[in-house]
Amino acid sequence: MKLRLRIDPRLPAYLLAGFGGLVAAIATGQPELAALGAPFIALAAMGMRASPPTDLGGEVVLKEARVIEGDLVEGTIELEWDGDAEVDAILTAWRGVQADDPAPEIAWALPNGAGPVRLTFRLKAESWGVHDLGILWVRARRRGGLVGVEAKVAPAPALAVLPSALRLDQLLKPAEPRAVSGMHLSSLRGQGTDFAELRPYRPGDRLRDLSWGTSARLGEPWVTVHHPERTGTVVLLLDASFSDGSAGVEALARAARAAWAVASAHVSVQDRVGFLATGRTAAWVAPEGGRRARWTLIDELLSVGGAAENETRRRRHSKRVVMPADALVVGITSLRVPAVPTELLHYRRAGHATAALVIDTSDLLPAVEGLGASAARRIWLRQRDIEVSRLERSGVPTALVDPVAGVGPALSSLRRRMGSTRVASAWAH
Amino acid sequence: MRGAVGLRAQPGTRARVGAATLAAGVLTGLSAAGLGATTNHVWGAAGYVGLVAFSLLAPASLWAQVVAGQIMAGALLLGADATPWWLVLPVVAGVVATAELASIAARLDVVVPRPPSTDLRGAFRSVLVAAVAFATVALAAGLPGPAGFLAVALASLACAGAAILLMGSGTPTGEPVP
Repeated sequence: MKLRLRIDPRLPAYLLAGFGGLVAAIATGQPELAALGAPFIALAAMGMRASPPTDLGGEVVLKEARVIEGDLVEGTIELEWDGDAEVDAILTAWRGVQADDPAPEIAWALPNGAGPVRLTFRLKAESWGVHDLGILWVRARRRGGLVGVEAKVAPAPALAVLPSALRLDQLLKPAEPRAVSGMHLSSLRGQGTDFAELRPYRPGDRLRDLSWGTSARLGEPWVTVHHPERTGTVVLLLDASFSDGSAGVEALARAARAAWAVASAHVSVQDRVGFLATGRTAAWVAPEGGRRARWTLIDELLSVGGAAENETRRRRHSKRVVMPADALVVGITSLRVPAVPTELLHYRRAGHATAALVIDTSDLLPAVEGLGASAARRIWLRQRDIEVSRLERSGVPTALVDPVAGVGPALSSLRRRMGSTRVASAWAH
Repeated sequence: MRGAVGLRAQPGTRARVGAATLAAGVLTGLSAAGLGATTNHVWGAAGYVGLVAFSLLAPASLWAQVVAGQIMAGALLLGADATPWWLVLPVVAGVVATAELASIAARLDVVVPRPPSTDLRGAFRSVLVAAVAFATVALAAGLPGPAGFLAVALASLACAGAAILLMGSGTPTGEPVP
């Protein structure tokens, strides 16, 4: 830890005046000038007598490392120094949170005294993502001293802020479920609880599958066939392009909340979920299931959110994107830039099942003033509609995510439309 | 480990201290101008007050204010119409008080300004030390010949030593906050 001296502006003033007076007295032979210098020398000596503390130390601890948007998180700072001193402590350069107590700055001016001391603070998690909470700076000076010290004492831990949870009643249906048990209906026939069809008995069928009523009517054994329950693979394609400013960050936050809602719901039913972010920051997580997938997805989603708040966190991933053949690719985008729709169409042409959740950000546009702004707004909305039409014509069903209603109604709409597509596909077999 | 609560200065404290600084500077300048009673002394006092105001905006320029005040007091002590030192004493004390108040105002211009009550007590103590040091050395300077210089040197050292001892007499420890 590097200590930096802070010299009070009085010290050079007193030294200059003091020695200046003495030198002038000697040079001119006027002892009265020494009387002018003596007070300042005395004051300078008095101020320098109190040497500043040299042994500063501290630590920042958070009560929780992960919170939900809007939550309050408490923390403590433990400070120590040698001897009695007037100490100022400040937590600087924190992002993604708002100071709650103390406010508006996380800073303290402590009365003259000895350490160690414990300080408590409270923050409100404002935006999702992994956020740096800055650095703890300490400034210390002996009472009456003209020389103090300041130092960066300790970095604050990072805080992971999860997007606010959204409740989903329905899930999207993946294109071709996998062979691991889950809750989606497979186009295959096998053991399960959902009725698929009736057919004549074949050697090897289980006796418990015999449909006695049908067998009695038709005079020969018939069996009931069910859909087996299988898992699916869903890859979320998040549009991580955003404009600078609070509107851009909010637009990304809405997309991330929708992505998190879809991801957590699918993971909870043993689907494999992958994540691909593209834009001003990038991330790729190959589809996987289970508890590990949940935390991996959280971390990657939060890293995208953290990148929105902090330019130094933006990154390009070097991993090769391998999209599973059976993956349902769900694009989550505001259609601000054509990159994600273009990528969705690419996957569609490659034979993947695709869908798009279009995040409505029209309410984030600045207030319309004048003909020019009004025309620009209309053009932007029209361009968005054109992009939606392009996706629809290419076979990518889309649904608009209203900021008020949330992602649930949009998913219901997609599910209905994708369900009919899957049935048609099943008939073809 | 004891818990602690930070101190907070009341809103507007810096403005009040700044106003007190300017008032002290004006009073000091007026005293010097009145004692000198010449056009040069008046201009010198006006320049001093200007530097006081500037130091409130740029605390790093505090040295200019102190040096200007010292020159203003020196101009009163020297010359054919030299002012007696006991009349210049308030000017010297005023220069020190103005510098102390200006530095307190500067220290209030931070993220978390602490209440200046302790600093104001320290400023008062500084003014006393400066006044005693000036008076002691001025008295010693009144002695004729080489003894006068020796007395000045000894008196200056004594004042500095006394100030150091005064500073090292211990500072009260802040009361722990439950």
